[in-house]
Amino acid sequence: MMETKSANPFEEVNSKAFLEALVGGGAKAQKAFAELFGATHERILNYVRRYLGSVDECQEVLQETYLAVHKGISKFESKSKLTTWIYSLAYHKTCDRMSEKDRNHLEFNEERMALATGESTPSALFDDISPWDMASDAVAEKRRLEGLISQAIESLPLALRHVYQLRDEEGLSGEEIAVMLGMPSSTVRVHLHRARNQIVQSVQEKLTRKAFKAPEDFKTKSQSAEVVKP
Amino acid sequence: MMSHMASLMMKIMYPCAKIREFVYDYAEGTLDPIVAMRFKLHISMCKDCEEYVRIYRMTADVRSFRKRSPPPQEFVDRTKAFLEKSGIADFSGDPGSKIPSRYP
Repeated sequence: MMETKSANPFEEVNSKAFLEALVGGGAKAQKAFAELFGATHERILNYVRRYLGSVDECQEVLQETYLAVHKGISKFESKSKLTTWIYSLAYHKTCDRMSEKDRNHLEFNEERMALATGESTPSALFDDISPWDMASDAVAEKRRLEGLISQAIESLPLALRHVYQLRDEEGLSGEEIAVMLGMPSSTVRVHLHRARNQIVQSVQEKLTRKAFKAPEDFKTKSQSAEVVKP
Repeated sequence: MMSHMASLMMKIMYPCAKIREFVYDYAEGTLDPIVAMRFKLHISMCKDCEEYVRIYRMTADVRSFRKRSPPPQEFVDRTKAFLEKSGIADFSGDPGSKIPSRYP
């Protein structure tokens, strides 16, 4: 029986030996491709479904992404990690799909409608319903914040959202994102900071019903408490 | 009259605008230690900035609560069938998500 490694398969596909097997052709390459799919599809799908509203769309974009991997693998020059390149293909396929949808404003989709009305989040597409539990106030408050952050992410401008999701949700490094999106690392940093700030602002607006504004100068906790006292 | 200690605190205390400037590096853990100390001093005394930094850090730590969940098996099977039919992958003896050790 073939021995298997227990380390992170997502990173292991970036080895030179694995890439050689992929581009080698024949039955060995077909096996390697199956292994590549097994090691990467969950993360790629997770990324794609943050943007797309239905399971069918996710399925199509995932298929298109792996077809593109197969088509382009012989020309892959290892300038980035293989996994970063796959993310890049998934990013472009997702953008293509979103552009198509923008051109077809009349398309109606119940899942997207649920997202737009705040009844659902994209991650709910595959998630089971959470079980009931008796959460403490602190936990309930934390969950409320998490929900507001999730909503705010969906409202980010796309340029910021791509960087934010690749960095903070998918865990890619700033350098990897810079290569993938063809922008300087400094721009990635600026986009990421702006994205996070917009999310914070959106959350605070919803919490306080007014835009958060950094105070002119610092205010002590006791002074803040005095302000809210009747 | 302000005590000497309070006066010193006010001198080293960052204004709130600095908190916004440094929060990115604070969240990334790349803030200079001395700056980090002054940063923490500020947020320990400023309620608005404490709240801002708390939510900013949650935003940067989104992976901890936006968990990935595996897709339904039916979804995976359909995609595998498509890739096999296209002749680009062979899932017989499927190793799942594990990479065989023949790739060092």
